Amino acid sequence: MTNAMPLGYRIVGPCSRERRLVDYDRAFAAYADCDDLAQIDREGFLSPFQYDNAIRSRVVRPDGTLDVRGFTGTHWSRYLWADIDDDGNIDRATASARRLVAWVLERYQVDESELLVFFSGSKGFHVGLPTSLFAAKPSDVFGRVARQVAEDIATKAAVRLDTAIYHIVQPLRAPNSRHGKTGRHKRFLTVDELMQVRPAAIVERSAEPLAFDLPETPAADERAVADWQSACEQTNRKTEAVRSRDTDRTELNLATLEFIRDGADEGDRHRLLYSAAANLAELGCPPRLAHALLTESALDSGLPPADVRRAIDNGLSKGVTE
Amino acid sequence: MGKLSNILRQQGTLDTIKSAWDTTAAAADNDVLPKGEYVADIVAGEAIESRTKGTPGYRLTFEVAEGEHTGGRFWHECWFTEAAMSRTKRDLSKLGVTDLEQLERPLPAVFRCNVKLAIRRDDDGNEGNRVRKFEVVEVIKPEPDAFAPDGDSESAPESGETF
Repeated sequence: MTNAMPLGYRIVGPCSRERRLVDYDRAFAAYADCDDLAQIDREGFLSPFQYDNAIRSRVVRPDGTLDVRGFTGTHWSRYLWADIDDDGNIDRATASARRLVAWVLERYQVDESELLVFFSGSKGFHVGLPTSLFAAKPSDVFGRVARQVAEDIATKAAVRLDTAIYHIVQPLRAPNSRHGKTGRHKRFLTVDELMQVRPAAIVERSAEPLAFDLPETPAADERAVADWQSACEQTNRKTEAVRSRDTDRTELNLATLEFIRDGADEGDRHRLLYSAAANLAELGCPPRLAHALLTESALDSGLPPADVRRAIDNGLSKGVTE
Repeated sequence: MGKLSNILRQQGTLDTIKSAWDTTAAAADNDVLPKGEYVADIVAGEAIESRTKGTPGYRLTFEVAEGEHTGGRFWHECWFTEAAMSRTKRDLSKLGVTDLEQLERPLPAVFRCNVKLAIRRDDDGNEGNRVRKFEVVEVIKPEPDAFAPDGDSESAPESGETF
């Protein structure tokens, strides 16, 4: 366990609202406890990661409002989160969450009481594996390694994940907070409940929040440590490959061309759109042209217009500053 | 053609859909707020370019602070063109902007306003809100989050720094 990453951000209201600097563990514990300060009857989000003091450089207002876009510093998380929606089909999503949890319990030396499992309040589940299992340390590539590990696990468990949550600007719904559209709460589930209760009944139970105790931190597991290490190596290889491609780059990334042509599937649309915009900006593409090239594909991928504009603008600003 | 309930039952989704129907509020049409007078906070300001001609401007984000539409947002654009400049200076001066360089920094406070809001319809029939008039009634010093860490403003602009 590390206490070196005490900070995070919190959003009260829709996730497009301001991100404000918080003591992450205190905020998380308050949501778990349904504390009045957490305001669980409103929408609430927490950062996907925890940060050290370097994140303070992103404070842009005296109230602690952060601009986290482009932050590349050290980060970490107490949990490796898996976000399962499965096309909004709650029966399939439940089956996926059950498979994932069963696979994790089978593979790693972890007690089911040490996992955090939530129904999201809408159409899916969030499963948190303690990163102490993996002996995962803070780093500037923590999110990418976490994503790699989660994807490896998901592939083996035959589960599809929404990978947007591994991006530093994409917040994660806070425990017990109310979902803005459904009015339901992100509710804690025991592994028994996940495995035994009918999906429709799980949805019904989320009409009310449920306070829960934070789990114990398990010791490192040999297989988990090896899986993390393997993901670190894969991430490093990818970074090296991108670095060598980036030298004297004069062509668009294949992923950018594919996005313009085919759009993207649910789960990774925001990230791919953002990356495509950043790639266009790197090559000096004017904003107006970038919007024209990307907007139709993004809308056809099912993203709402406001998300499309924001992702393109964010990507353009990243591409220009790097 | 069959009954919806039969179709959903065959798909095994009847309970799920019924539950979602019972618990989901109907979406507002494009989130357009009704015409009227509002108490709303200016919570953000950012430089923008118009989509068609690339005209530079500054967009204010308003958030309704009272009444049944609390939390709803609408926007007001101030354009830096010769024709619009006097209106832009009038609007931004209400926030204490006397120099363009001030717009390089985030808004230093939340500006609570009385706003007259109208609805405009474009040639395609799309509706959107338009701010007809706004007056600042209070400048609210932003408060940190309830879980703000100690000394969280050390890298932030000085709290006394204003537009």
